[in-house]
Amino acid sequence: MLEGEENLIQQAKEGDATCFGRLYDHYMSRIYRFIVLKVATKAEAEDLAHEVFTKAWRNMPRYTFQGFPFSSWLYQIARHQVIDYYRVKKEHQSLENANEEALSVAATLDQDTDLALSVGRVKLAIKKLNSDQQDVILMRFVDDLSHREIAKAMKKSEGAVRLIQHRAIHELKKILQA
Amino acid sequence: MEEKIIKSLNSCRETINPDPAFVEQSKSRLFSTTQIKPGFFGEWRQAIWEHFKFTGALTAAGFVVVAIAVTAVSFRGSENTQATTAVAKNLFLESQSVDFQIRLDEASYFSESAEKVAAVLDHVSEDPAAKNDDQTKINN
Repeated sequence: MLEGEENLIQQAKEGDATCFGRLYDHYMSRIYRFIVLKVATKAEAEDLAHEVFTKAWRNMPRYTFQGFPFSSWLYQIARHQVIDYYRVKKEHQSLENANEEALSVAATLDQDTDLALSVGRVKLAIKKLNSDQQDVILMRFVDDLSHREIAKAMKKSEGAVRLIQHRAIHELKKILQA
Repeated sequence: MEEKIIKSLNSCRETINPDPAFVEQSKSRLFSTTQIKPGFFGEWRQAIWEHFKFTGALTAAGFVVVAIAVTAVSFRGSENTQATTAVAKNLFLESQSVDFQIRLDEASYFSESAEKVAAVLDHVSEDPAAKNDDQTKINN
C-alpha cells in the first residue's frame, strides 16, 4: 500500500490529477504485468491498461475507501476489462500465435540460464489455466499481493483464494511436466 | 518444481514493465478525460443505498432468527403430537384386550350354563312330575 494512500485517494476523488498521477505511477506497472500475461499482444495489454486507469479516474468520485489498498479496486477493473476483451474477441489466442508471443517475451527476459523454466513456458502454461486460477497466480506471484487483497479484488473469501492457488500450482506442475 | 515455477513467476516482477513512452502518453491522455461527478441525487442515492444495505442485512438476519424459532417450535409441537398418538395407540390396544377378555368370560359362562340347562331338560323329559319343580328351578 502506498504511503499516504488514503489522502491521495481523497484528493483524487476531488479531481486532483497530481494525486491520481502518483497513484498511477505506483500501480501502472502491476496492472500492466497482470494484463500482459493474460492477453495476446503487448499493444493490446497497453490499450487495456490505459483503459483501466481511464475508468478508475473517471469513476474516482464514486470510490469509497473501505480499508483495502487502492490496487484491489484497480485489479477488479482490470479483471473486467480482460473479460470484456475476450468477450469481444470471442476467440482465444491460438496456441501457435500465443507461443510466438510468449517466446518473444521470454527471449527478452530469460537471461538467467539457471532458471530451468523460461518465463515463456510459464506464460503458456498460465494461459491453459482457468480465468480465476490465472488471476490468483498472477496477483500472488507476479504482483505479490496478499491473499486478503486478492480476495477483495476477486470478491471471494481468503480460503477460496488459497484453494484456487493450490489447485493452480498443481495444474501448472502437471502442464509443465507434460 | 513448485519453487521453480514460483521463481519464474517472481522474475516477471523485475523484468516485465510497461514501455516508458507508453506510460507518458497514456498519462497525458488520461487527464484529458473528465471525471464523472455524482449529482445531488446520485449522492443521496448512494447514502440511501448504504443505509438500506445495513438495514437490509439486519432484516435478513431477523428473518433467519424468526424462521429458526418457528421451525424449532413446530418441531417440538410435532414431538408432542407424536407422544399423544403413542398414548392413544396404547389405550386402544388396552381397550381391545379388555373387550376380548370380557368375551372369553361370556363364552365360558354360556358353555357352563348350557350344560346345566341340557341336564335339566333331560331330567324333565324323563320325569314329567319333576317338570314343575324344574321349571321353578330354571325360573330361579
